[in-house]
Amino acid sequence: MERRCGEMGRAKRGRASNRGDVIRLSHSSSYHRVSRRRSGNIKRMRTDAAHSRREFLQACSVLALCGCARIGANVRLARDALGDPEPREWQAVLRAFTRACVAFDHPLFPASLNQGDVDRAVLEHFPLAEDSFVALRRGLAVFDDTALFGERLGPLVDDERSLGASDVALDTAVAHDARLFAASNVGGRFVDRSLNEQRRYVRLWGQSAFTQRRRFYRGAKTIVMVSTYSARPAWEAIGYDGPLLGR
Amino acid sequence: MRSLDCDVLIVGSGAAGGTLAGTLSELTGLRIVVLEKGGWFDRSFFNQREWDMRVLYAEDGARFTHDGAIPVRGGECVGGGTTVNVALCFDPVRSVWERWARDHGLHGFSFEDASDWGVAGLSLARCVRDVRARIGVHPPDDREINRNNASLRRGCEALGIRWKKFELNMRGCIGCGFCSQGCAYDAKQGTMVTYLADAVGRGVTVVHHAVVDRLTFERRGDRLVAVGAEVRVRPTTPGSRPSSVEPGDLRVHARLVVVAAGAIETPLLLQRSEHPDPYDQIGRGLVLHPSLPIIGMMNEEIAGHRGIEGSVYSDHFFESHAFYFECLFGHPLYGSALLPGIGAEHFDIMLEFRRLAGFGVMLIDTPDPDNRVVWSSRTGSYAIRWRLGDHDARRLRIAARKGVEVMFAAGAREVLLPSEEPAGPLPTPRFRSSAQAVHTETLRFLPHQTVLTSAHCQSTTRMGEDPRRAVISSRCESHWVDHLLVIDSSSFPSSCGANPMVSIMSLARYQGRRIAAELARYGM
Repeated sequence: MERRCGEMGRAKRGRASNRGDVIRLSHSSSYHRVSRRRSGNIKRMRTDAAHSRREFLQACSVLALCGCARIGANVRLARDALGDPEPREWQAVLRAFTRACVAFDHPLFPASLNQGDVDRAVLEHFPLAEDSFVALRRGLAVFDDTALFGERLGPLVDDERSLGASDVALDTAVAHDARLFAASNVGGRFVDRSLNEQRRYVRLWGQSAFTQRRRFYRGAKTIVMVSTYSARPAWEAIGYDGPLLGR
Repeated sequence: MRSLDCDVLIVGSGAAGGTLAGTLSELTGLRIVVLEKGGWFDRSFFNQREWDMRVLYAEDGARFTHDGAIPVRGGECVGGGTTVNVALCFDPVRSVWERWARDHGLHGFSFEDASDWGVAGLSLARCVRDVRARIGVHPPDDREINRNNASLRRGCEALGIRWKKFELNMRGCIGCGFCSQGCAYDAKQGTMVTYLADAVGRGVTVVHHAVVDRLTFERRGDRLVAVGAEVRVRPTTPGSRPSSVEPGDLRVHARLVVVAAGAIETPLLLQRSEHPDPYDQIGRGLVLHPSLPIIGMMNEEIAGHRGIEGSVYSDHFFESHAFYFECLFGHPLYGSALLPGIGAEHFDIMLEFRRLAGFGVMLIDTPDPDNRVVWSSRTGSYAIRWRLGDHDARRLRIAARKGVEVMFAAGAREVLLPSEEPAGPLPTPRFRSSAQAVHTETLRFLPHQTVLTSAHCQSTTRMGEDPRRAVISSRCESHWVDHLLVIDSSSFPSSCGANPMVSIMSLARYQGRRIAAELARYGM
């Protein structure tokens, strides 16, 4: 994973733009404009009209969608250049993601296990505020902007190409995701959607034609499920009798 | 810098390292040091909780292929994989070793009693017998077959598919069902409680939490010679036995160095050490034995998490398609991460937990030089590059279809795969009848959409007599560095054709007996 992030770093530095991609990866790319602005004020950068929130998210999407990777030097450099979502921002998205994944609304879901319990369990099991989870935090920020799902994101296209996809396959993949998104009838910020809309949108990520989107879906879902089914009320609900040893 | 002197340094304490330490200490009076990257966790620590026991695994159980798609599980603790596996034993597959002799020029490894390499009584056959006896390999009684395994047996019988009982390395198993979290009863006969315990009793030193940064080589004339290793001893993890060596740097000097760190760590260590590799062979040819779970929703209680996890398998398709069905089951953390869907779709399956049956397709994957383990000195990190080839994907589709049919024949009312891919007209591979199994033919096994798992990595530092195609010889000696041996699953020229533990242990026993008889070869 770290290696791959490194490759992406090289791609950003060295490759030409990708045929109408939203993000240009040439030396005049938004990435580098953002990087140069890092020497100024990162907060100002993130609210600058020339570098809207969406542009920021697009620029870092390749890092964002790297799942739960351990951090490497290249990721660290990019993180420093691009900043990091505020805790309240990614935590709100994670809570909404958890609510969509876990069947709190199911009549047989244990009443003694509420969302607050699972939210706390997630943070107890996974040190999401640490460097090693920067990619997940960025992924949550990108995930929150639902409209990005229907767009051709250069870094994702590059990543898919590095995995062997042809130009034709990439066009097909972009069209596939755009079609999924259009049919989902979801828009705006994920955190503001209804539960049903949120679930439709989460499923889109599992059905994406792009490896990195599916990777985020599976990684984030695993974090949530592992945290949920570590809890004894969940064991009792499914009939799991747990360890035989009392320790 | 602190230093430690010994005759033989063994890197790794698992199936290979543990067996080798036991064998050499039995047959020689050599000073032996075993280095283990993980901790020394024993029965007093094993609490049967999935989350807590993740420390027994490499990367806390989160070691993946480079695309993050396939977990590559491996024990990283004293005993290695033999501490966390489910005790499934297959003798070395004779046809595979004969093929290796033909295709890779391997010498020795007799399947009849013989005196290989001129060593009295040395044969692979005898070493297999030794290993089987020491770790208590035997088939379970019929009454030890739990309902999950009985389901696979029933499904196979209904379709006329051959099934067999596994052999297991257990003594006094109570059938708790927590094999993969370490045996809290010392019933599973891994190296920690057999060969390595023997070795420690004979004075062998085990240094755990020992990260080997690199092997040290010395130039003597026109040859490189292995003379030891540079090691970092990490602070002891809570729950582990205390270390006999304080944390910090350590230099180990040895006359013979044996790398037995498994098919991921071994090639990485050689690459980090700048072991010569003029033909770019180290790390290539990785075999993973990808596994696809087949999950059945039954009408009756199965409770597959209780009892011996694996007691029934089928090798019916081994000769024709090179896959097995092997009965396995997961506890809730593993299961919840594996099952498809979110919300009610996911929870409704979890509610069936006690009525779920499961077995896995284990595919013998075709060696591909592009499937490899790579160390990057630039980033200080590694990548496990592996992709399912088109031919293997075709065989996996056949296996999936047969597996679904077997599960229905066993009595399942629904069968599902851990996948969110469309299957023919079905939105996901969740089948309501055996007739729908035909839709497995459209599966693509896309990364992160279909879950494949792996626990049998092999073949990354291959044996062979041609240095252009192999890293080590039939003696497991490096073609390029003297006094350096590689003995573990990475030594196999390709897949050993089955779950590898007994093959690895037999190889280590064999080479241990040979080394003991050829000490002069290593200046001892």
